Amino acid sequence: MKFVNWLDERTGLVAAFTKIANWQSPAGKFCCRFMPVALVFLFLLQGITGAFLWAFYSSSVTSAWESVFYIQYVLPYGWLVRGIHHYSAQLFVGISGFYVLSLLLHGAYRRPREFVYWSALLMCLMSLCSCLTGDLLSWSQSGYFATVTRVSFLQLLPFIGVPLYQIVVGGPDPQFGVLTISRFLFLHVCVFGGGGLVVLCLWKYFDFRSRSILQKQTRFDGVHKCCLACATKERQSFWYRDAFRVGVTCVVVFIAVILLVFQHSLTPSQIAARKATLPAEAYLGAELTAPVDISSSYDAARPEWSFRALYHMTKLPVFSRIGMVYAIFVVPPLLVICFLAAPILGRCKILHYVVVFATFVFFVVFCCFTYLSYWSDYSPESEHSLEFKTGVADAKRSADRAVELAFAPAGIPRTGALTLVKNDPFLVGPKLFAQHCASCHNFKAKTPDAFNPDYVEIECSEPTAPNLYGAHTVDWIRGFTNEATLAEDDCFGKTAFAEKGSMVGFMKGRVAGGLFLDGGAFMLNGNGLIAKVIAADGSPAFDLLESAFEDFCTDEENIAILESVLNEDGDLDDETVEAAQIGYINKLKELVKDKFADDEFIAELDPQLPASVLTTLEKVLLDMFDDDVYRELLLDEDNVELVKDEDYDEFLADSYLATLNGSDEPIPPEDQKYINAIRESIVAACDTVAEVLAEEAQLDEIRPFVGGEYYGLAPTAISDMAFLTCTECHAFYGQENDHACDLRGYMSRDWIAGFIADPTSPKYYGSKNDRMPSYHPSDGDALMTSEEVDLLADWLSGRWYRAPELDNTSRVGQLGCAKEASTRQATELAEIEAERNAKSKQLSALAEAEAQEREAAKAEELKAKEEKAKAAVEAREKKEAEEKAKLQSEVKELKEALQIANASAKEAAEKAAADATVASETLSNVEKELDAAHSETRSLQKQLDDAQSHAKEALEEAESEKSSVQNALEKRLQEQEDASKNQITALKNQHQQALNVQREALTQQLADAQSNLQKEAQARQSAEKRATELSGALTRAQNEIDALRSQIQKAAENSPVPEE
Amino acid sequence: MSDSPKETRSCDSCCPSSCDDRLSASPDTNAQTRRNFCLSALGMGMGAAALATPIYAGARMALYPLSQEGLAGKEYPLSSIDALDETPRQFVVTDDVTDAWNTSPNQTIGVVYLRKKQNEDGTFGVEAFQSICPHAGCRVKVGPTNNPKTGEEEVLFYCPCHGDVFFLDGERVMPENSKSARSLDSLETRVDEAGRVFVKFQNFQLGTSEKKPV
Repeated sequence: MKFVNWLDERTGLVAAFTKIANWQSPAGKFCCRFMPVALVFLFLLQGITGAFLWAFYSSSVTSAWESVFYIQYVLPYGWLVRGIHHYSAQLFVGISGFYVLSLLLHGAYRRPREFVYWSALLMCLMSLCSCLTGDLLSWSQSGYFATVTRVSFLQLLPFIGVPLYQIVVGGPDPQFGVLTISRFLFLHVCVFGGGGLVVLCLWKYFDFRSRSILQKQTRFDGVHKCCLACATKERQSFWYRDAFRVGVTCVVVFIAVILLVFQHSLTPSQIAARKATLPAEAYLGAELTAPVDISSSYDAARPEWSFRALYHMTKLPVFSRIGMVYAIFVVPPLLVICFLAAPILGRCKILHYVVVFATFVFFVVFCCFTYLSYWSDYSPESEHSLEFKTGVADAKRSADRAVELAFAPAGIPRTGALTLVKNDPFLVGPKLFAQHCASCHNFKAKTPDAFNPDYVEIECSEPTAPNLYGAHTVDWIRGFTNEATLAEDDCFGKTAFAEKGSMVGFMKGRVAGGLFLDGGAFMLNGNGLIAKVIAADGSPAFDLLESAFEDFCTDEENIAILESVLNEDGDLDDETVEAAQIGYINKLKELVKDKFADDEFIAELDPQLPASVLTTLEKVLLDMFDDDVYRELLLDEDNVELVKDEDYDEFLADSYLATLNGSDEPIPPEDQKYINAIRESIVAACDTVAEVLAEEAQLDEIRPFVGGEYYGLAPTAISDMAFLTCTECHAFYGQENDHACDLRGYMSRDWIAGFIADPTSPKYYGSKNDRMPSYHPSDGDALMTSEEVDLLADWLSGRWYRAPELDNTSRVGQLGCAKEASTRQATELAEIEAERNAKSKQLSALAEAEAQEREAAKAEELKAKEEKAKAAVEAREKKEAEEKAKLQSEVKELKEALQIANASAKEAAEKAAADATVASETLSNVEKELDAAHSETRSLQKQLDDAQSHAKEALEEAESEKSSVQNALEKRLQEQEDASKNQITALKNQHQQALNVQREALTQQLADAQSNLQKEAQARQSAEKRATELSGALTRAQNEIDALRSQIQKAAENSPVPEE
Repeated sequence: MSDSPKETRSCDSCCPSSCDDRLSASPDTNAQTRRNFCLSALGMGMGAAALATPIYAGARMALYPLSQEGLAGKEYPLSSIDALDETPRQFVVTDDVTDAWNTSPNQTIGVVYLRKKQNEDGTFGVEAFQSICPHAGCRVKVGPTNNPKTGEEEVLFYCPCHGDVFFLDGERVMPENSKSARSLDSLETRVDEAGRVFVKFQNFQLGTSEKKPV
């Protein structure tokens, strides 16, 4: 008790408590006190929730929307707090308005309650202002554009308009910015929130004061009995009954607020209609539209319900005549002044009824204008409703998308959610398409899917180019691989390609019995196809026919005829040309006749081919040459140019088509079967090609060449393309071509981006491009930035972030489920990424392995080669060694032989030398003997002086004879010696040569040596002969000498011996 | 408006005594009075509950951080064991940081020191330290500094703010004179087969002698 006394003394709490406990309230009915209680309760609700929101709100351009998003979607019960704040404010506006009206109707504005009325009116106006300023704070499209309109009205004011606008916006420029947001936050919280609290308190205060006055008053003219009851002296405890009433009032109001918070999630059908990719919070509480994007238009900008009447009034024709400024700045202030003046006006009873009547009129007009405003937006009869509804749908789409993007794994960057929205193909793509493409292209599904939230329809009033809806899908591509749809408006129907495009002509050819007409080898290609279909196992017929025709075309004689047929130089007269043409065609016909008459050819073509098909085939070909249309076409000078380029296809297709259609004879049923078979096979192939191309459309980049194949490409894709002769004009994997667009990565993102950037590039339409502008050419002016081109390509190829579907069953009230899902998706994405990485790793590993393998194979090959070479070298070496050995042995043999020969030669030489020595010895002996003979002769001379005169002649003769013999002998000997010496050195040289050079040389040498030896032997023989001759001569000389001696003896006997 | 318990008490104390006196003129019986009182209590309770709802929701909003998992305790691959030395080297820990609604990729969330250390069996392990001084949160540096125990200059951890010095294994050089109440905060590490070093990054409370994760 001591504590209670202490506390009460200082704070008066206990006294206040006692006062509350003893609170006396008027004993009258509660009905007219319902609204004040509700207003106080709603104000408390707003104060509490506003304070919490303020704690999380961030007032800047890059974070306002983001923080509200955070409150709405991430924070637990944030949506509830925000929803209560929003809808309690709406209810507050409504109830305060009704309260003011009720005061007027009940006369409760009158003396002495003027200030109660004025404060209530002020409270109502401030709540309206609070709503106006609160709109902008979320920095979302709806609030922003609504506020911009309102604030821009300020500029209508004369003189002060623009400065006032600048003050409100917070800068010299008209754009809203950070300062605008913080100004509005200040106005919303401090001025209208805090000011509202002050006014609320004043209102209550005036109310209490008025009661005490009323209690003293005696006259109550026009004051409603409720108010009188309040003012009566009759009182009862607040706790007796009113406490319960107040509680019930609060709960009723609160339930109303909660119902409004849950208004989009009340019925099961509403819950079922929720988007699976959005968290439940998107359908709870106050709406949050997409972050502010000034560049985009926002057609659904409308004021709150409370301003709808004013909004409708501004649209009245009278104000467009006299000026909007009256609607905004004259009429409402006048109304407010009227309202303010009510207590002064309504002083007497009659005037009170005038006020009541005016109030009633105001209320009716307000309701009518509000209704009309909604009617013009929502009624199907209204002319603007479609615009508004599209705007709302657009806003919803953007809002939903912004939330999806904010929950994406990448999150919101520091630059704000606007960055996400601006770089999102899903949102930006349709806008770019509408801006740049929709003047020619449609974007429209054949059967619009109203339930597909991703579906956007962009209609072109006069489409003159293909419909681009689903351009990356197989259905769209099928439209281009089918002759029936290709020429339709959704494809090439309205383009130049419908008239003179190869593709359309090509496909027409397909209709005309499956004949694919191809430049030079025209109908033969078709026949090849017929044969191919019939033979099923890929007969060589196609090649056969084509090569036959190619032979024909490359024949010089035929080329010469063709040249004169075309008359390129124009120097030939018509008769010559016609003759050449007839000749040429006759030759072609002959070729066909020859071929079809040739059993061998038929047998090779297809032995199974029924004769009827063959005759039809032949007839078709011959008819074609005979056909006037064909001939005329061939003769027509305009077509000569055509003939020279690839458009020939179309020209021929047309002519053939004409032939077929002009033919009176029906195709025999048995042939029709084959033609049907061909058609079926071609249709099937076209379908497969469409599927192949649809897969291309999904590629990030064109397929790399790995492991001997194009990565991931269906094994039959290339052959299917070749079968349809696609790759004769189009480039595809392993087939370069620039006659038509590149089919690698056809309709993939990069392909489309490149196409939009520059369709005249040789990769796309090249010079044949039909009207499509180059939006971002590498040279020249760009119509779009490269970022825009990329975004548009992303959108057309269906590449945008797709939010994961959230768990539908547990979504109601489950908080943060989007976050969970996004993290789940992030992990999934990471997994996919990892998978992709693994794949690419695998790919690169594959490529590496392949390269390694290739290298290894190369190395092995090299090794093998090396080994082979080594073996070869070894073998050669062996062989060489063998040969060497052989040679060596031969050389050895030769050497031996040589040695033998040498030895024999030496022997022979020695013998010869010995012979020579013997001869010389004999000679010397002879000489000695001669000397002796000489001396004897000299001694004899002395003795025989007389005999000398007779003997002198004989002696001289003998002597000359002797010297000649001697000379000859010496010469011979010398010669022999020289010869043998020369021979020996020659032999020696030859021997060395033989060692180094060849066997033949050696053998020759040997032969030489042998011949030499023979010569030698001959020489020896001759020497011996000479020796014998010499010895003969010697003996003769001896004999002569003997004869001489005997003569000398005779002479001595005859001559007188000197007597002593 | 007041809270329901208050109001109950007030009725307990006042209504039966004072109100009844004033209302003696009315024909209400005691039962009626009781009923009215209960209804009043119910009404006030309902009103209070209605007001409590946004308060509860707001409180849940405010308490949201408590239910969130932060980055603390996440493992980060920082280096490879071969790149480390016995002298500590500084490594920056980065992660995608979510700041309320903003997500920023690759933001620095802390700095750690890594060093190779020889185990008793001769193999090498890795030691990791928080770079935040456990005393007052300054960033600890490593380099040649004066060892207060020996007076010689050697390579040590030192805090530039208040001069604490730590050995390279994180221990304080002068435990008795140190301003820091504990050694440098070591972090859990893991080395995988490939030799990559993973560090479990955490921040710890400052000033306590016990290492408590924040």
